[in-house]
Amino acid sequence: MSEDRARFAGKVAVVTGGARGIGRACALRFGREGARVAVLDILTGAAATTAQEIEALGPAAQAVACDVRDEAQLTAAVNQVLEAWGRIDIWVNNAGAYSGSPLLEVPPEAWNDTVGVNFTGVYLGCRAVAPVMRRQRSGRIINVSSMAGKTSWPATAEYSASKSAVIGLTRSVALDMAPYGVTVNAVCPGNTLTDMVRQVAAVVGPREGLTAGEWLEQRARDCPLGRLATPDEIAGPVAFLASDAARYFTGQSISVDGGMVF
Amino acid sequence: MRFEGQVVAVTGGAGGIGTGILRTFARAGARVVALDLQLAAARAAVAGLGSSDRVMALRLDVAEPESVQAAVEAILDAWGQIDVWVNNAGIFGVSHIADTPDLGQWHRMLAVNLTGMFLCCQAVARPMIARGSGAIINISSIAGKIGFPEEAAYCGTKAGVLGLTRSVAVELAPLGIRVNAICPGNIRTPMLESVDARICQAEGWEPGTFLQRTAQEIPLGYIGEPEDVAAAVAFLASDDASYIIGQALTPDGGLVLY
Repeated sequence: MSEDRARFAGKVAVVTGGARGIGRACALRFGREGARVAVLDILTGAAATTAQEIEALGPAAQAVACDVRDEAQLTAAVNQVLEAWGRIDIWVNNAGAYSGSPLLEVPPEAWNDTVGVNFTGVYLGCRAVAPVMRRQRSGRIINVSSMAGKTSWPATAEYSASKSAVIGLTRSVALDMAPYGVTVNAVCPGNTLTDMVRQVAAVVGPREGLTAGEWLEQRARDCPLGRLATPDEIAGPVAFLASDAARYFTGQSISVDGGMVF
Repeated sequence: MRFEGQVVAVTGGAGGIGTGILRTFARAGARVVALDLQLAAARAAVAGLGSSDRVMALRLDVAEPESVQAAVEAILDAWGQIDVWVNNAGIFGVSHIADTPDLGQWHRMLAVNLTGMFLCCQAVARPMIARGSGAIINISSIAGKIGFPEEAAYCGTKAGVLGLTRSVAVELAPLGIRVNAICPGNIRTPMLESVDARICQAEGWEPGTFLQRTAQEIPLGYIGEPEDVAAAVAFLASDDASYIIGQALTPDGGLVLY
């Protein structure tokens, strides 16, 4: 990895859904490059573990219990980070949920949960941090969408819709925040080896007559790059967008998917 | 020094963006090669970027297959490898579709902006395939994504670059070579300054007025610098972009939004 121990020195980064998977990789990456990191998650135990791993690297870190569907919890989290460290330079809206059922079988609560976390959660995250970054006249917001935001597969209505919505939201919030020097971008990961994708494999594999392992192997073969991503391979582009070097990017949704979607 | 030990070649290296890319890679520890139709200007682009064993300047006409082949061989003869190849050479021109006198401009732009990129991809792919690694970055433009009046040839060739990028990317990905593109927005270069001079003269404006008006239309409110493009190139060339292929990154200050 192209790491620079000082790239985020003095910065404060917040990652929602930071306990596991892509969020954890982003949180660790910011920590390795010198940032203080707040790990927001509903999984408080795993969030605390990620925060401890970051502190073991040197920078300060804290785990904050936060359900991104709840604006009051996000506001409280922002206040807690500000009280501790006084600023927020980087905010990654990463918390996500997957459910996938054939259209006629999607239970209403599954729609509400998936859209609530993946879309409304990102909107509420942007709302919570926007006043802080506007006041600072600096900041970076990075939203984690998905390749399912740019294309679709059968039986992914709620997931695909929520991830496409993030791309539209990213464009609009980018324009709102541009006058204050705050950039807003998204990444659209392909299949990444996380608990979520293993869960998808366990649900969707059997539907296609495959074991979870076979389904993952199939996904790797479908990918022009011939393999799934590691969470670190998504954290790299997120770190780039969060860096000073990416100051002229805003409103973009960058596919990090091994060539799955153009 | 994240590009220590690597060899980076940039076509159109004497231009504004090309020079910025060379500077960025040289600072990050790479040995750099400036390739340009104007050899003296290529030499000037790398002057001050390092000692003679770390920088090189070669004359290159990207539209001529023999010239492209010779440049690739000269780099391999000197340094044995090419890790990153940046297809940045490009020309710009405007012409109203109904008033275009002949096909000269069209053919010239096609030859440099698109055929040149194809020839360079072909020539550099061979040694990269042999080593099983490499990164190719093609410089397109926001004109490859949206339309501007009187730029049929420019918009057409820059959109063509994106199609070329996608195809070569999926073809070379299994061989360990990543290919991506960049679509710069308005970047402060001699090319953009000449556009400003032409338009301001035609409109009777003070020089710089066009640049000022352009900046106001950009959501972030300013014209980018060559370093903004170079940073994106360096990112795509780095391990941090190991799962990105066939993409068009767009540092444009929020102008295009996709």
